[in-house]
Amino acid sequence: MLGSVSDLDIEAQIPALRRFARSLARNADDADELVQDTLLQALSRWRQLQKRGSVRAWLFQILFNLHRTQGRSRQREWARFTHDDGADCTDPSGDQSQALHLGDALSALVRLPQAQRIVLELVAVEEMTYEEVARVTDVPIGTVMSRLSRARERLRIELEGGNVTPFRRIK
Amino acid sequence: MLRSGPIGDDDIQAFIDGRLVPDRQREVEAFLAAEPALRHRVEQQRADTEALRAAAQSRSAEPIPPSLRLSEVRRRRSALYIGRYQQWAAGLCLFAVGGLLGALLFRQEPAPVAARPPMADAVVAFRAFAGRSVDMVEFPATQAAAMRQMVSQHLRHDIVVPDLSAIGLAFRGGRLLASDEGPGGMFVYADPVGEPIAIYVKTLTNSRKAELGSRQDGAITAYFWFTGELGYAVLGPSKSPLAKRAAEQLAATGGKRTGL
Repeated sequence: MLGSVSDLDIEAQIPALRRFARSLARNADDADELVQDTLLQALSRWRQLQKRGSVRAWLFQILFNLHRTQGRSRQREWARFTHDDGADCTDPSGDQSQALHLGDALSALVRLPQAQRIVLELVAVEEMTYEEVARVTDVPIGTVMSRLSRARERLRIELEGGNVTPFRRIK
Repeated sequence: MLRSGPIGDDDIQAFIDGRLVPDRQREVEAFLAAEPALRHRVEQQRADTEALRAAAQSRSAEPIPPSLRLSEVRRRRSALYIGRYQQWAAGLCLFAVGGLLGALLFRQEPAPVAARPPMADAVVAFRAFAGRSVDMVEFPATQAAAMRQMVSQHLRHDIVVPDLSAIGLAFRGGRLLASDEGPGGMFVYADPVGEPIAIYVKTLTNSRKAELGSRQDGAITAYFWFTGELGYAVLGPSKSPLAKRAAEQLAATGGKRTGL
């Protein structure tokens, strides 16, 4: 339907979009709403899409942008409650109780700073290229690489040290 | 990743993700062989990455809810657009109704240009500045020369301040004015009993000529004539014979008689 991109191409990405949305949003309902808004925008802006191969990165990019613009006020509110507005602090949006039932790696992932966690998720779970990750998160590729490196180091610390988290919450 | 030269952290990351070209892969392997601690770290991180992928994939088998079907999203989208168009249409209707009402309610006849009597501005100026207080002038009689220069400059014509002492009118002063058609001037005189009589001169936007005429406006009579580029009026109380005499004299000489 959408030029060279068919509905099926887009719907094939919905599970991955939901996965990404859930790691960004605070609960499953918010996440699905985010996906819905993403699809809505994708339908209005499909002319901007050039290459068939990048449908997924394009959709992820829309979703991440929406999350940033929509979530700005919500996050500010949240930061006021938790006094957690530093750039490198643990992301408060992860649902930790849910993570307990999952593998160690996943539960440790939740405790990573959001910027690092997103890059690691997109590379490891979604298997995106580094260039695609740079496009989705709108940062230079060098930043992607350093975030990826720090995310892995941090994940290791979380897995080895359990509750010992030396970088966390220096107040 | 195509890269050469010394091994960097980005090489290590790409190595963990298995994204290096075979040649570079071998170089990194050789590099790690010499660094057992780093190699151990890299192997752990590679295992972490695989665990992460496996764990994430194991939980993503949920069916897609109907609200995320593209057909549903498209339906919502068109509903959104129709709503927006309806708002636009409503706004446009309101605007049109408002405009129509405004046009009907506040329609004004254009002011009839010809209806204004000739030299009405002169009468207004006379009432405002000559009236009873003959002293309300910009230039007193002593500054007649400066007055003449100023008025001539603004009207772009050589204007004289007529000497009317022969018929018993004493010059009291004058002023610059804005008339209906451009710059103008007024010279105020006093007759023997102290009644004000004024000479009014203005530039004309539409050049025209006319012989001496007169018009009564309340207690004031205006005698006026047009010389082509200038309009003249002599104003005074209706019962005053001196105003008429002054007008007849000035009109006969075209205003070009000796001034003060």
